[in-house]
Amino acid sequence: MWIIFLMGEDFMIKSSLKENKITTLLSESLEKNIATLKDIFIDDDTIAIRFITNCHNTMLKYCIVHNDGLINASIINENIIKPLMLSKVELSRGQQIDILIHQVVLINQVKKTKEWQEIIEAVTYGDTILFIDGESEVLILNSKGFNIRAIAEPDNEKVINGPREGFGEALMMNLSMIRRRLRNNELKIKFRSFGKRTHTQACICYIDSIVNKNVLEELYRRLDTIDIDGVLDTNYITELIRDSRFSPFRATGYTERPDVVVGKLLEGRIILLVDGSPVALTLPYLFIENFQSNEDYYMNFYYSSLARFLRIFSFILSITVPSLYIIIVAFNQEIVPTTLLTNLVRERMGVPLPAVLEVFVMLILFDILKEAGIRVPSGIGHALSLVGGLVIGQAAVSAKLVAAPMIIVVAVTAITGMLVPRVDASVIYLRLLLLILSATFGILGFISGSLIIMTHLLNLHSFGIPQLTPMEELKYQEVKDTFVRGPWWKMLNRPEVLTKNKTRLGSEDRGDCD
Amino acid sequence: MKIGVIAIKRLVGILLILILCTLLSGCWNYRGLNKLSIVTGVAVDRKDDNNYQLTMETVDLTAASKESAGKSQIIQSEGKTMFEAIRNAKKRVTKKLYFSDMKVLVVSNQIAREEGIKSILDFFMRDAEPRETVIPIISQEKTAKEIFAASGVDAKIISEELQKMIDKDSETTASTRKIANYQVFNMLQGEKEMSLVMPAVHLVLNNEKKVVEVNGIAIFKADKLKGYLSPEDTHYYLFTVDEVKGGILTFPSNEKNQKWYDDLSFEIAKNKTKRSYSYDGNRLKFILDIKTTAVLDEVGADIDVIKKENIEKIKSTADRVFTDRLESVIKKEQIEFGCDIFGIGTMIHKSNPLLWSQLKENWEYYIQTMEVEVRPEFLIINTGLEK
Repeated sequence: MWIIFLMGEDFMIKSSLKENKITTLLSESLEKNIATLKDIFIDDDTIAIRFITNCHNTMLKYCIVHNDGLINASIINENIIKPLMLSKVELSRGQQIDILIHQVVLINQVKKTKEWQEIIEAVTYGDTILFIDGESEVLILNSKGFNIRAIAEPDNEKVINGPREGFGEALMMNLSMIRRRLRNNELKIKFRSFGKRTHTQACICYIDSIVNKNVLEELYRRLDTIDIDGVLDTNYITELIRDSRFSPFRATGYTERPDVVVGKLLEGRIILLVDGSPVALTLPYLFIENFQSNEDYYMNFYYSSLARFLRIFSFILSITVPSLYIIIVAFNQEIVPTTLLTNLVRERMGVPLPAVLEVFVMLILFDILKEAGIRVPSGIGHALSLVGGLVIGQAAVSAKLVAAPMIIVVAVTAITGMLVPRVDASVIYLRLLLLILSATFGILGFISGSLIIMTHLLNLHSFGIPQLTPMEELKYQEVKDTFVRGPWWKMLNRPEVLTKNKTRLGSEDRGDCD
Repeated sequence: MKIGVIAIKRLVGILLILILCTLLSGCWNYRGLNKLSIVTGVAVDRKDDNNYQLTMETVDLTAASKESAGKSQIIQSEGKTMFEAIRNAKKRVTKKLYFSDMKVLVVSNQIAREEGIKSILDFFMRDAEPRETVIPIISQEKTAKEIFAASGVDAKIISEELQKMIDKDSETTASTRKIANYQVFNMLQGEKEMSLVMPAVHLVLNNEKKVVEVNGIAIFKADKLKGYLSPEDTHYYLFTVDEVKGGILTFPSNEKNQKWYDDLSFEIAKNKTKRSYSYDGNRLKFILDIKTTAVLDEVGADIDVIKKENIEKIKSTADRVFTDRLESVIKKEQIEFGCDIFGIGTMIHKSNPLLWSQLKENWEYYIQTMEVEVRPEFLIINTGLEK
């Protein structure tokens, strides 16, 4: 312990020295500045430094610095080096920086700065830094040019109907996809950076006239408290800012699709995008969003309503089926018809494990299979399904290790669980909770477990907004996009809890809103 | 610090809920499905002066293969009381006898006649496991256990077959009256306005095998068996208590026919009996307005049923024959048993409690001297088609 502490202190002293170097101001001397820069980026060979002198006036010395691999070389050659070298503009040492911006460099985004910290962040993001001899300011020139993944349909949010476009890892490209769908001045896009070391760019988008200002304020307040080393994916931020942090249910939504993002923006939600992650964070999050899919809105409302209902029903089934099975076979046999009971008994004859243990074993086995299916390289996927399906399903039953109804129970649990991927983590835990309670107290345990779950759900909030609306506050208009997906011409209002500006369809003075 | 207190409070709350669960739960004990033996029916006989003999029919689960699915097993035991006999049976089997799926309780006519059925039904009403909807049945055979020795026609488990037969009876054959254990108890308690009737079964030969057949009803005075009504009489009896949902009525087509043989069949589509009574200070009168909708399904005589006057003739004959037969059934009951199986007492008690308190002392006398008025209304809605 002591040694670690000492080492820690030592490390702190060193790093504070480095901090000091960064905080030193820029000097007017080009050589000094470059020396400092080299010191900052010591042992980093990707930093390219190039000195330039104007051919008409050799007194004008420049130095450009960029990070190899993040830049577009032709921009630097054609639009920075060439004009600097060949410029015939009247320039004098010490008073040239504004003239350079206005008349020489051919770059769309130029920024003046005196801060080393800003320089570091710019260089590592693909910008080119122009050091000018005799100036204590530098220019940050946009020369980004890195390779990014092509736009593709997100694998986990596939649709049959509707747009196929999905987000990529580059923030600006993602923003362009959103902007293309929302061409008005009310879409606000605010940048922010997170991570003490990664300085990850993130941005917050909302539609000014629809968004709930209280939620926005609360979001900024929570974002201000973030103090983390690095942010590699949106989930880092999600977990840091969410409500009821220990709840297995989501308090914020996620999507990889620009169409979904725009849909959420139009309902008054706020979007948070993080550079380097294709996943957008949407908030506030209502519980019903677990069961909504963007495709619901692209397809016939009859079909979508059925799908909605099936998802909600599956969610309930996935949580309750194993515990109901236990209740039937171990506690309250009188609740099933005689024929079913005799069949169950016949199947359970000669099976070694008690039903409760059997359910546990099979459920855990299924989760193992599922995890293996996700992690396994795609080439051996077939072997996995063969082993999983055939061995565990068929062979276990014929070898009388597991009763056949158990396989059906696990299969129903698994398939229904897959219908609602947004709650899959919570489903596993709730299922186990109910199972343990049912296995010890029978149907009473089941009922009290359900009550615990309902209480928890009713307590869930997302940025101050309750995730489930209590029954007495329910309005006809609000139900149109929950258990069913109402036709578009019927969904006149936005969800009331999300926004004050609730009219979605038609004019404000329509009398029939509820 | 404060958060800690809240967390502890919550934890205590959850623990309290869980502990309360154990207190609130009634029968939540864990019993493995494969350690149960499902009893479907119980037959009660008198073994000797001291002991009852119970014959329990259980689902045979020893061979788990598909061929033996639905076979039954017989477990017999003796004991001084019902419960003791059931406990004694446990000495012979390893599994727990499980009574929640019990369908029928067959009582031998000897016990029902000599000792009454209340002491037998009591256990099945009082114990937690058997349902109150168990159907008590009187066996017309020498012993009750013979019923379970019969071979089933549809189901291999006799109890199941019996239950289904009696359950669907009022819609198809209308030859017996279904009654559940709790209803028997209700009738035997309190004022006893109505006499108890129970389904009766016997064995018949079918394709050289003995099978069970529903055979009318058994009539009780208090809880003691008095006699039986035949299936056909039972059908007419069901008209008087408005329990007919189906069944076949046969009538002669021609009244003048010497032999009065039935050659027309009617299928009852709907029946509604309005029961009422009148009392003139001396004698009771039982009035029945019977509205029957029927379909003419079989014409065994040379009659053109398309013609309206023929239908009218058939109708008037049917009305008369129906009235005659119904009245004779009631007469027979009045003379032979003299007990109120029609529920007239209940009717009077509900509509005129004063009159009831006046009549109930000599209730049997009033039933035996009761007059009957039948007002049938026969409606033939369909004469069928000849292809």
